[in-house]
Amino acid sequence: MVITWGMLMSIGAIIRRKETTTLLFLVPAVIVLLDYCTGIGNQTANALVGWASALAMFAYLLGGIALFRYHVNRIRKRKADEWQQSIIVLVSFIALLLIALIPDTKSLYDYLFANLVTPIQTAITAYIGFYAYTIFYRACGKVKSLETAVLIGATILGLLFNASAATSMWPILADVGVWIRDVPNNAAVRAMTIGIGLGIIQLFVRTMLGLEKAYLGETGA
Amino acid sequence: MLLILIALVFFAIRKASQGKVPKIRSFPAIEAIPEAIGRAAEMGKPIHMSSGFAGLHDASAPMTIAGLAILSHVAEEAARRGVPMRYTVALSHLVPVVEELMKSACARAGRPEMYNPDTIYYVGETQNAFMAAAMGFIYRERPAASFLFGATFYETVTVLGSAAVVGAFQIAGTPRVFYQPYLITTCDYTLLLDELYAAAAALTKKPQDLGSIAGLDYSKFLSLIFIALGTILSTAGLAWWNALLRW
Repeated sequence: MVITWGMLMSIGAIIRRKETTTLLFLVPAVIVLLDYCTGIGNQTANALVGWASALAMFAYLLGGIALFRYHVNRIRKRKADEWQQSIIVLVSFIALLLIALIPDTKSLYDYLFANLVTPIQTAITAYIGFYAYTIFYRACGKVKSLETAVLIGATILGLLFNASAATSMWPILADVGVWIRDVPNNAAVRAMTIGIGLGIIQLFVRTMLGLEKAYLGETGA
Repeated sequence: MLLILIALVFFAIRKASQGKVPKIRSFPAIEAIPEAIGRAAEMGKPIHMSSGFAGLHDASAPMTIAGLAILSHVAEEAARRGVPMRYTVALSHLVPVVEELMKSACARAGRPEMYNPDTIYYVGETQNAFMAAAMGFIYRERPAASFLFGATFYETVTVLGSAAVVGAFQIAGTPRVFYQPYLITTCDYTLLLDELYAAAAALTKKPQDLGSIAGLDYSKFLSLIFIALGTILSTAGLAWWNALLRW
């Protein structure tokens, strides 16, 4: 049988139909849900989860193309103060890719990873601590309501509770900290988790009915 | 229980599509989106958007879907006003989805020429690269507004923190429990916890979508009844109830 361009277009049109995409979402979702709740269809559900991960891997290629397109465009347009960085990105990307692909270069790859990539990643991660404290400092300047004051007070107690020097000096802080963590905090987190779970159920039903299409690159607007 | 909750949402959507449309309160965070983009248009500066370091392939998918729905609304508003955008993404499978989303948002705004593939900046699959790219853009371009909606992880701290430093108008929302304090302390408007799901549904103002929000409220009410009933029965120490809980 000869596959014509027209046939391919027809298949494409069927795949793009709202009903097809909803079915592609619904069938695996029901199988995985059934397995989670009852244990029925465990093997099929596991296979489907595996397929999803495998399909996501194919997307790396798309990501690579997007990355190249973006940086090549920046270099081509000589965007002020940025095109030099794009050269560094592309050279690093190609160099690490080649080193990973060439046989017997594992030691060089490991060396670059341990001495270049890891320190850079550690440095970027350190920003989190810095920003967490600056955000807390900003919040201190924004105390305009009782709720914010309670939040700031609880944060200060939480900070002191986690600092061993503070709990050594004032042992009562340990009791207060444990109470805040186990009683009001735990109760609030449980309530939030129930709310989030119900939100997910609502989104599931909306997707099942084809009302939610953001995951297809469309919106219901 | 799950089936009952699903049935409740179904029932609410069906009721709304039959004409009994529920009244839903407005979401200040959604109402403020045009204001934030208008500010960017007046200042002649771009806006920054992101749905965080999560995709459609794991348990965070529902949050990402809700985040993308709101970001599409942001993109449409930005295209309408001719405001340049930047969407930072760290998961390759989101690239084609966001491309389509942006393209259709620009088309809906009547400005298809506003779509530029370079708007979407894929940074690689690591969270640190994502944080560095987002912070770099925010400090270099000093966007007038920053939007962060979805399943956000510890990049929340750096994105919100750097946007606060440059004085960007910030609107953000995530159901992730541990990042709620960061949202409250840095953003001008927020969508806390399950509000993100409700806001995503409320964007279109279609009866079915509004019905699904009412369904969410019904299910919350039912859960509260079950919690109260469970507390009373557990406190009473009834043998059959304790046996049922152990089962």
